[in-house]
Amino acid sequence: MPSKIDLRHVKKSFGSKHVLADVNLAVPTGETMVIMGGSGTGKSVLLKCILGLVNVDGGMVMVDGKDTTKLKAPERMQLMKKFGMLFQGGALFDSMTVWENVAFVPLQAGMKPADAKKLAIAKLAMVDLKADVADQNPGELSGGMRKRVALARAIAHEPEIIFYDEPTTGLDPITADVINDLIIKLQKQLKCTSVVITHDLHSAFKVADRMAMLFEGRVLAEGTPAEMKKSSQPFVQQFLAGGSN
Amino acid sequence: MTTAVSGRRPTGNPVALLGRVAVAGVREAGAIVLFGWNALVQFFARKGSRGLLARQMQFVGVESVPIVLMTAFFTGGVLALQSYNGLGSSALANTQVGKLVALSMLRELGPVLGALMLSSRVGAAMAAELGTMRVTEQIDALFTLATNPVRYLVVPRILACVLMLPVLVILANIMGIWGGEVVATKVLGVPGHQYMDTTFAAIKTVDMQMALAKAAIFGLLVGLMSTYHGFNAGNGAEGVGRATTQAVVYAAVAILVADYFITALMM
Repeated sequence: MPSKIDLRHVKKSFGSKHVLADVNLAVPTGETMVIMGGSGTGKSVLLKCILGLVNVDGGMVMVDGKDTTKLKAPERMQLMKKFGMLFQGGALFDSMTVWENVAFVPLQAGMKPADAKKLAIAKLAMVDLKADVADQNPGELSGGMRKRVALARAIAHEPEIIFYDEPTTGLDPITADVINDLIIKLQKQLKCTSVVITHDLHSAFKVADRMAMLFEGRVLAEGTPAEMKKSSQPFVQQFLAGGSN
Repeated sequence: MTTAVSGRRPTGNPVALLGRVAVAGVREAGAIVLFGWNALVQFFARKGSRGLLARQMQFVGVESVPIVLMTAFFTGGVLALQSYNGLGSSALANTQVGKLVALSMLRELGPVLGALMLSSRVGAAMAAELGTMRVTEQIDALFTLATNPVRYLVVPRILACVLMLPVLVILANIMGIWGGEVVATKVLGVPGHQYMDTTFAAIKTVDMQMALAKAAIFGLLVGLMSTYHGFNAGNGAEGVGRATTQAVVYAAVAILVADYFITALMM
């Protein structure tokens, strides 16, 4: 299967700290890739490098076979239409209502507010939220609801690629599993490519088609969940076992 | 050894310290200029954000009217009091107070105080709002929603400051002259017609041009400093606090420095 995203020798440093030393990773089209790793191993930085929020120091970030590291601002904005991103804290615009958040892209494109609100309510239904949430402010929502609204916003423009940054962090186990189920459901409905960053092993094994382990700025191991469980890498085994040494 | 561990150079040498401060200052100035340039590029590339601009004009302009007018009224009153007492004889004072108040307001105090009030009220709020958006990843979220954050957040704010501060300064000047008139006539006993005659005789076109030019430039500085510091805030609540302080302080310094050069050029 062709790669939707192909990372080749990606490097990123902040001062003397080499966060990404040499990352090589291919994300197949239509699959869910889970990137695991300990705290501070550069998982979020890697996502930001793919999105162009952080400029890479070296290497190539290929999306649909084209290098995106040298794109100018207008081309980057065009490319961003392919992406949807669920931020760890939701990153909902607190100056807007829930429906204005969800319908942000259509509203910016000039859709009439009444039509945009209908669309937002339909997207909210896809993440199992009722229409009465639409007029609330993000500040009135619980953590799980915020994540779901953020997910509805991320999928509102029907992206080809969805990124999830720690989608279950800070949620209780039941709500976290609801989010896991939503990731699987949306994957099937939208037939998109997904990249999930997490250190929640339950979530990782539930949603992943493939997994990659990031360690010291490199991809230490990559494969299907079954292959990862059988990995000969001591760190992978330690991480999956949840031990400290 | 300590240097290697902490990653910092020793700060004992005053020349080295001065050098580092100078380099940091030049780097910061360069970053602000680049940020402003990016905003200018996005201004010419922008389309369909009139709603955003209108909302910012309301916040920057309409909602600042009470504080700017109150400041200007009392400034005019104080100017009248100070100049009347400074001039000594009441005959001289009667013919000069109106002129002093009007020229002081138009040339200096209207634009400078108006801009400083705008920086305190609007600049601080803008920096805090954008800073909070930065640390809660809302600015990154805009980017991922295929919306240029500079175009969406920065351009309307700077433009609103540039357009609305001249309007506020015109109102401030009128209010300041009226404040001076109230104090001069009701408190100091200057004849009302004399105050207004000397005021209108003193005001020249170049004074109004100077007031408006200063207001537009100061508006640009307030908008630029506020958005730059808010947009680049970091490190959580502390970073937002620092960005807000820097926005107000940098804007105030920039206004006063620019004031000197504009005055020197236009005099």
